[in-house]
Amino acid sequence: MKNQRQHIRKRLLASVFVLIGVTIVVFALIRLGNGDPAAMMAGDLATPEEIEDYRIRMGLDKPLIVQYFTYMAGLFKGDLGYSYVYSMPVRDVLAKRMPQTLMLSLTGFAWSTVFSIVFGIVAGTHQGSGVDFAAMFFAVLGQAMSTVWLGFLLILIFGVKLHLLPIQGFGGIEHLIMPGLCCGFGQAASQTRLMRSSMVDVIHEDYITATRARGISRKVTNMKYALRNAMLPIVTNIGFAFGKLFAGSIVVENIFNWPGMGNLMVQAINSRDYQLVQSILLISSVMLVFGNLLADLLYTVVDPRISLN
Amino acid sequence: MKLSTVLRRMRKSKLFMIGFTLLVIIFLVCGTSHFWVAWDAEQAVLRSRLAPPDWFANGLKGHPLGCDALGRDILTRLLEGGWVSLKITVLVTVISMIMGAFVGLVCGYYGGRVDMLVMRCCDILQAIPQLMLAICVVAVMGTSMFNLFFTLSVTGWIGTARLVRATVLGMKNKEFISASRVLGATGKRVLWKELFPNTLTPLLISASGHFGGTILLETSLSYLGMGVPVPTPSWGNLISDGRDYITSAPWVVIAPGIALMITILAFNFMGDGIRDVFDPKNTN
Amino acid sequence: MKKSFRYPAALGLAVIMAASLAACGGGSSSTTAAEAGSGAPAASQEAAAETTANASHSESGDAGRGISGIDTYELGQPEGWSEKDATKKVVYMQTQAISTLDKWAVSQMDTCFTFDYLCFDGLLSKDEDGNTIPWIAESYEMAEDDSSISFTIRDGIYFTNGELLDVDDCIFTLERIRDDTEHLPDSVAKSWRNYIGEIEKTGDNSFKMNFAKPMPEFWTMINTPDIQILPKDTYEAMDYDEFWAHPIGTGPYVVTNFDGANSLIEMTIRTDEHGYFGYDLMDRYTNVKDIRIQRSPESTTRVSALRTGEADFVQNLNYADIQPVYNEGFHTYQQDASTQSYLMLACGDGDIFSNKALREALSLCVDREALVEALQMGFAQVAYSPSEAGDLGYDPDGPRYEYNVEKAKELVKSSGYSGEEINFIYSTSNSTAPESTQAIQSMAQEIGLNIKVSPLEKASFDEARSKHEYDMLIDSIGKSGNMWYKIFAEVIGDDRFNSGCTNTELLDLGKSMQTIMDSEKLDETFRKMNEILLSDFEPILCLSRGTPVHAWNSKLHGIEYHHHKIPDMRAMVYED
Repeated sequence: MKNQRQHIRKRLLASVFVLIGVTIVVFALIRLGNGDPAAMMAGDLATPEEIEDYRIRMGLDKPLIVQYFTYMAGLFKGDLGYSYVYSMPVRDVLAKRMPQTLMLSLTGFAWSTVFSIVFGIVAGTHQGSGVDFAAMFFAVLGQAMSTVWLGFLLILIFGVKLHLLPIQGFGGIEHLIMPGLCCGFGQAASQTRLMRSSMVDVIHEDYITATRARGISRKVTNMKYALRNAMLPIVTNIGFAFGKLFAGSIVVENIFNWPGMGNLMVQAINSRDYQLVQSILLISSVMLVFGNLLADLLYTVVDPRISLN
Repeated sequence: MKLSTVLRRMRKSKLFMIGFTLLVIIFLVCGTSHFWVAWDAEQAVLRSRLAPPDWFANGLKGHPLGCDALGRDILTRLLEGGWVSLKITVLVTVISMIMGAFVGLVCGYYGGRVDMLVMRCCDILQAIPQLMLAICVVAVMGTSMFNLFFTLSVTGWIGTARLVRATVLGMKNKEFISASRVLGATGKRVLWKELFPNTLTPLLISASGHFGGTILLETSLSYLGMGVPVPTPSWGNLISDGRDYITSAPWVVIAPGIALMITILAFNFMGDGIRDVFDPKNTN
Repeated sequence: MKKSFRYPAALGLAVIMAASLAACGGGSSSTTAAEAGSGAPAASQEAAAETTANASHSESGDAGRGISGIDTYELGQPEGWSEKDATKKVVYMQTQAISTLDKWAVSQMDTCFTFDYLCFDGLLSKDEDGNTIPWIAESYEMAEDDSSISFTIRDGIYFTNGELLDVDDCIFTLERIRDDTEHLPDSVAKSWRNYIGEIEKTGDNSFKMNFAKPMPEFWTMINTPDIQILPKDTYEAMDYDEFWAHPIGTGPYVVTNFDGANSLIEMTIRTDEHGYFGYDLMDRYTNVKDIRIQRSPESTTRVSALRTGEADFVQNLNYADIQPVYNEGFHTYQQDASTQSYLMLACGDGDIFSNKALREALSLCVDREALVEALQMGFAQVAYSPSEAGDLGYDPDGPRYEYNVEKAKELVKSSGYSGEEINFIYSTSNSTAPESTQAIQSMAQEIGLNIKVSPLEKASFDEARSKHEYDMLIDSIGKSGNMWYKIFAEVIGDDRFNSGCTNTELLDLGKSMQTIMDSEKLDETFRKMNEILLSDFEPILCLSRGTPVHAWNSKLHGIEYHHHKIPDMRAMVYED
């Protein structure tokens, strides 16, 4: 137990350092390129003096170090900066857009997790059957589908040809179906395969055969003993998938014109809305790092045999 | 493993053969397309705007797969775009492998502060979601082929580096290394002659898996307008071009989509095949 | 495990391909787009083409292209009507973002003029035909020497909070734009700030505004909802952010909810005892109680929303959707040209295009009619000259842009051009640019010009432009309000976009425009500039003028455009 806590503490500390590194990289990266946000905000026909006036307004005349520390100091107070394009604090902008992205990615995450686990288990325990066949086919095909292509294929079939679902936009459940499907597809495919092969591997292990030899039924063996061990790689995979909740939706949001953070990020970069971009990247990185931590943690929790030395 | 064993296993692996054959066909068709297609991939012919496909009714002189919004022949753009995407994918993978191998070998073997510093930097870069990082880099550097190569390579080598480093760490203390050092071999010699050949297998496996990921990333970037610069075709570009016309002219989007799917399937099959070939449990 | 890979994958491929081809087959039967796109170019007679371009405003519309005729529904105010009788709701979807309701606080691109009509009023306004009419100002008189203007304010106008409008409110509004540098940046407010001088109250209900310097665009700006008259006492008593979350104006509607991050405004009709003065003045009324303005950047989404009833009025249809939407019974409206797209050439010393022969060749090789016909399906005006009929500077007998490929080829040969790469940049935020640039590149290739297209996102594009790092660029500029003035006086006159133009005659004319307020003199100056633009082909080559098409439910009446680009939704009538 103590080892576990120490381990967690170590990893947390390392993660914090990584995130600070991320803020530096992101801060530097977006300021490196060309494109002057003050000029963009001041408008096409602004004179150099007017652009300078805007630059001072936006705090961009201060030295970079000062800008960085101002931003970091703000972070600790929960202030993510000010978006000049939206004329409101970054936190408010994100508050309006994050729920939509979460809705989308959580839908994808939920259906892909449930689907892949159930499908994978059934396929693994019925090796060579029709279900197994279908699972592998789905897995192989799914991993070959680019999100871009999948999105448009769905739009073509369900939107254009069958007129069943709306092509784009945000609204009720019918607007969520296709994008949600897209979001989780890749994960569902690869995880189905992983679950299946994990199940197959575990079933062939000696201790499972021993359990069967003792007379315990196939169903109980599978559910009670095999499953627990087969879930190991899945559980870490789920942790990783969780980490990608924010980042995975950029393309899907673009295709379906979903008003989420992904779309926001692309627009923000184009308008050089520095603080908005920094905050979005930071939040996504936090999620990713958190997902990795979660995976690590789940791994140690699920398998008590793992020692932490 | 002996080369003859590898080749024999490759031939016996159905997965590998299917993937490999498909890829050879795709590469050949796309690579030689320049010589036998009838149209220019970048010349706009406004008259033929959004012409529907005539399915080889007029042979190659017609528009077998239709035309896009600027009247350009889709089959031509598909093949030339495919060649662009494939070239990028292969080159980026090769660059990533080389960079990753180099960094992994050095860090794994020498260890110490260099290793720690580099690995922390890798952690930081990997903490930023790959597509987001790519978008940022391209946004600040501008859209061009060179910048695309740079972006894709920069985000691609880290996984390989970790893999190679892990392999090296695993081998570092084995007897044959110690034996070489006893015989007076310098660090560089040990690296090159002993360690590197043993990293080839994981490198090959990593590379075969890398192709699919790279082409997906390039497609996503090109779709967002941040990959291959127009008017040069690329499958991502083609899908993006056709996006506004999906209700009226779906063939603009369908052609590159299917081509993309088949290619990635081929890469994945080949990758799975290679993994089987080098699987220690393989008894062929 | 390996065996079971092949079959499912092969099967999967077959199924997917079959499904896609079926979907594809469905697509090829809708040939509207393809047919329209490959249609014959517009009439070769340029004069005839110019008049047919304006055919959209004929009484019966143009069913062949999907444009509705003029609405003849009775809109006069019924006896005994009051705002409390309004019950309907209208949802309007537009393309622009709305980040704040105070349009002077952010640069032009994010303002919401549509909102201004509903919430505020200006000193002057426009009638249906676009003529200036007195509004909050009952009468007005410009001084002989154009140095000041006097306004007499109408009585009996009430703000939505019950406050009576008086002269002090008008003076306060103008002074705010001039003096509030904290909230209103120079670059945005300058279109008034630099011109408003001393303001004197000359009576209980009159005042005189002196011009700090001549303001040529005055007449085109004063009659739009540019200057929204604010209630001085209320405004000064409230916090800036507090006021603009629920602004108070004299208009018929009040804001109930404003969400800047999602670009959404919800309004409801005012129900105070005084009501909106404008309804009696215009002899109009409305039965629309609630209005919702929201942003929907994708045209396909807007059109779907119109079809499902989610939206009642949408802005800017995709060309391919216009005919179908018209056929489905919606009312389509083709707006007057509001943007002009043009090429700007870097023509300073040492630039490739400092060579006049090359500039002329480029202008001659671009088939403007084909571009409009193919890329905009005919829903745009070809720019045969920088000014169109009705604009200042229009000369019906003057020179025109021609299309002559042979002459262009000769000019290129004689120019001494040796194949240097021409850098053609455009901004990726310009939605029509990718196709236009590639089309133009191909056209130029035909005559031997080697053009490389470089898409840049807005920030990089602006920077490249200001640093003169381009050989040619494509851009569009607004054509309404004061933007028309801007292109001639500032873009050309001051060479704001750094083209390096050395044509001193042209530049001097442009600069001189900055001090002329008399319309006749302005017209003459414009004309002279047009002549030079059409003979020297620098620094801009006009291409076409966008005439966006909007659509609304055919049961919705009373939307006015005043020959402008801003929909006036104050007096809508929604049938049952």
